[in-house]
Amino acid sequence: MPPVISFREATKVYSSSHLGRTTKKIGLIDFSLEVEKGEAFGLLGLNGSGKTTTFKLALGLLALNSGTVKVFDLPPSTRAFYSRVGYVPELPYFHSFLTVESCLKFYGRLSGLSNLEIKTNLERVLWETGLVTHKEKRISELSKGLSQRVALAQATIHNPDLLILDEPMSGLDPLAIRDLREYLSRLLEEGKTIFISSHSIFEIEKLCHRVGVLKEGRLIRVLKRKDWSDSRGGLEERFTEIVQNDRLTEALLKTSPK
Amino acid sequence: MKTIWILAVDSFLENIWNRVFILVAIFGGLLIYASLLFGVLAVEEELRVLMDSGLALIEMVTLIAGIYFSATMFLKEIETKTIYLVLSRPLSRLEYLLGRVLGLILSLLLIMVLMSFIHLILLFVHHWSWRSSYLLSLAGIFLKALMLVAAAVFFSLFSTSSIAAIVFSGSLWVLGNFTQEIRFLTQKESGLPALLSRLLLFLFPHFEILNWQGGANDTRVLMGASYAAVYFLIFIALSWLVLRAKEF
Repeated sequence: MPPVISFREATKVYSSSHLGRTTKKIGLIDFSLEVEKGEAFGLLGLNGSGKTTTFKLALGLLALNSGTVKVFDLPPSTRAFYSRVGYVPELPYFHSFLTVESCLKFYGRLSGLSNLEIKTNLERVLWETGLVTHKEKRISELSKGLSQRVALAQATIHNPDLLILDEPMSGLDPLAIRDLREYLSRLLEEGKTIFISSHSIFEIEKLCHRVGVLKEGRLIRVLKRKDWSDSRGGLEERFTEIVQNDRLTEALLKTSPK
Repeated sequence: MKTIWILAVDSFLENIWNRVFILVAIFGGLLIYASLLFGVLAVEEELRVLMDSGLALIEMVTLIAGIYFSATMFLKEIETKTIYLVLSRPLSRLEYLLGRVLGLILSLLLIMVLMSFIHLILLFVHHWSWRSSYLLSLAGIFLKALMLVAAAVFFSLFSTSSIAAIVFSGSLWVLGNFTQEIRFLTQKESGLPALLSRLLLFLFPHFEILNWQGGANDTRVLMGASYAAVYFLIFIALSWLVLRAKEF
């Protein structure tokens, strides 16, 4: 069975021109990774390390400069691909005048669901994300935690096989984080694949089977669960160690005589 | 087609919720103020001025709203990341573009209907008798709005700021009202400047073709409508080409 997500030597360079001067910035460089079905894969990295770029490439929102990316063995631009993917961007916005229910119906319709499917799936996601009692509230009335639940509900309304979650725990209180983790664990039990990034190492550690460490657009290490479960300081210690070692190697390379 | 309609209704509702009624309220206030002001003039003059100024206000508000909605729509969607939630669904970028543009057009239609309603009430209060040329005037304004919407959408896909897109589209609106004067000036030039001026003149919208306030025969209406449709379709096609390759 082919992997759900497959990056091969993927490179993305952002170019911007101003007054005839072109500036280039590396988004991702020689990135290779495979994520298997039913796996929760976490991306860790400092700000600007390339996590969001990786997700956008997997979603076809950005184009590669070189290399390939395939999701479900398809290039990420076909309808068949999008109907199997759910995406939560970092701090998403929803029209404030919509109610939770009408917002989810809108995304259900856009995902190509029939009225009957929307009815069934809406009940399911409202229940699973704990939004049942809030379904008639306007988005503007929701707390950050509840808005994040709406974000997750819109990403799962069409029952996708793959979830791409960019910092879904950002700004949530501890209870909301726990609920979110439990919900994602249930999705994993159902056989869904999760590709997630978060600054909350503790949550990634609990949820993910494998973790990739990104630094300045490079995937510098992929860790399996046993790599951090054996370590006393857990994933946080392993992550800090990897990033600091990489900084040290870089500094040594810069200062060593040619 | 279903997806286009879903997106159109979404844009339409958002515009209504956020901005349409404020614009209409401003229009209504201005018009009522103008009508009181014209009350001091003679009866015949008052009606004529009320008709002309009302239509001019309807045109101005519709075109300003059209430019503003179109120039800010995509940039706002990018800024709020709504575009990611939509483009990561099983729909093509063409459907996305057409859905959003249709939503804009519906919003502008609603603005025009509401403003015309206020205008007609004021006209009837002043004992105006109905003439079908009124509808023709509105049709001309609507077609001008369509042309500007398409151009503004195209500019907004290039720009990184709404202000730049509004300035470009606003300039096109101003230039579109002075094409006869520009044509007169180009006739005085020769060589390369004349060629360049003629090329630019070709790109500017020729709004005078759609000025049907004084009435227009079938040929003029057909020609004008066809011109507006072609202009609109060219800019929508160009916008689609840009959007297809655009990264978010």
